[in-house]
Amino acid sequence: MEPDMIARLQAFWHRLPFRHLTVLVIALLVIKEQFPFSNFPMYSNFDSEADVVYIANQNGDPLAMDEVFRSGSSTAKKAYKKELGKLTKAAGNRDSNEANADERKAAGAIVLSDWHANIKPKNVPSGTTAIRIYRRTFELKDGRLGDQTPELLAEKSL
Amino acid sequence: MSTSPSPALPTPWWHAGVFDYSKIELFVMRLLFSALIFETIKWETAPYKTQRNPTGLAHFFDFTWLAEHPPGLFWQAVTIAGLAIYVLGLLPAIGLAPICTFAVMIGTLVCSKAMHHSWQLVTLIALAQFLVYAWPRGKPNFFKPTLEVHRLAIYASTVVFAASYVVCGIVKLVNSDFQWIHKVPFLSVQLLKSNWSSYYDTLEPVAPWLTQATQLIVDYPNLARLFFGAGLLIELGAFVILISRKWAFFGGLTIIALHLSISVVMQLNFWYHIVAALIFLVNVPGLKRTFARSR
Repeated sequence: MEPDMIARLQAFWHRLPFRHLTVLVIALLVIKEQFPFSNFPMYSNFDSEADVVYIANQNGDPLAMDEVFRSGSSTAKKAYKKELGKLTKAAGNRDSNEANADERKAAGAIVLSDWHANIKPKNVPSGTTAIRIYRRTFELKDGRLGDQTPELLAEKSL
Repeated sequence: MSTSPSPALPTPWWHAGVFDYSKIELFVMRLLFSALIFETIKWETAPYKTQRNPTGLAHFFDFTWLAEHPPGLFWQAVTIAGLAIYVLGLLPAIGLAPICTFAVMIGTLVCSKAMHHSWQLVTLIALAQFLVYAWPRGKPNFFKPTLEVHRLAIYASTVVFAASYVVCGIVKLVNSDFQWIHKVPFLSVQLLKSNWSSYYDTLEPVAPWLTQATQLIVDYPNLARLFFGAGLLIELGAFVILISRKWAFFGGLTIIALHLSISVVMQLNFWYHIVAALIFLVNVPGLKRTFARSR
């Protein structure tokens, strides 16, 4: 590189406002979500619908996920979304929002299996013979907040 | 004819640089940060048996052996010993190495199950400090760094802190096609979701006032835009904490207030961020110095 060019680049670097911060922000934007780096995309985009994923017993009564599985609902939802994304990507490079019922069930079964592997048997309420994973969708429609009947994704016997 | 040397130009506020922390402030910061980062590490790695959604180094390495062999008391003692010498300001690069290694390995494993955002900031701060201390500056600085090097390590921590918030604000604008504030009423659905998500974690009933607060966003969308828009501005403007110690102090308090309000309304707790802001930005032991004079 020409010495003149190096000098100009150095001058640019020294003139750049908040130069270390600027470089790091650009790096985080480029690297995105690769631990320990992150662009912190939580709640960066949203629309009129949002869903949660939870685990219940054979009757559909929710189980306290932190206590029974050592991992909560939001972690389960993220894992479910990841699995769903892989399935829809493999089947025609579609977005996970376009997943069909079978794909949602398949992703739910994978997550339920993972959560089942971490179950704390002594914290499972007595009488529980199976666990089910549900997806519950909330929506804002015509100025009113509401929710749909939870969708059963998968079930596993204990 | 001789010319007298021109007076030095004052440093512009956008190039403020390293703050003049005293030895005792730096000691307290290192001590509190050690406790914070040790606390953030999820030493109980047994539940993380797979890397189904690899992130970071998990693309190249398999960390699932940590589920079979969680780091026990011996490795935790080694980490604490390292942190102790780091706190004393001796061999800080060596002292930070174990905590950085475990923070990255365990964080990568846990986030390879499902992404969390609790640990990135603190881990990046530790890595930034490690880089500052490990940077070749001669033997004496490696063994017992000067005051300037310790100040630089804290400056690097502050840069990481500011960048994490600024990037978070930028991503909100980019991912929403710059419609984020316009879309704020839809946040009510997200709030409802996060409140129920919290319910499914513990089965503690959702407070009735939270349901009312959620409906308020729908009923008064412009008020909601003002409230959440202020949060976005705080994130985008987080670079101001690099201007001076006073800016860092007030910026830190504002960020803490932001997190506390998010905790109340959305049940999303970022305690590690709050504590990091208290340590590096609010810096209680340095308050007198902050308001006395210095940068």
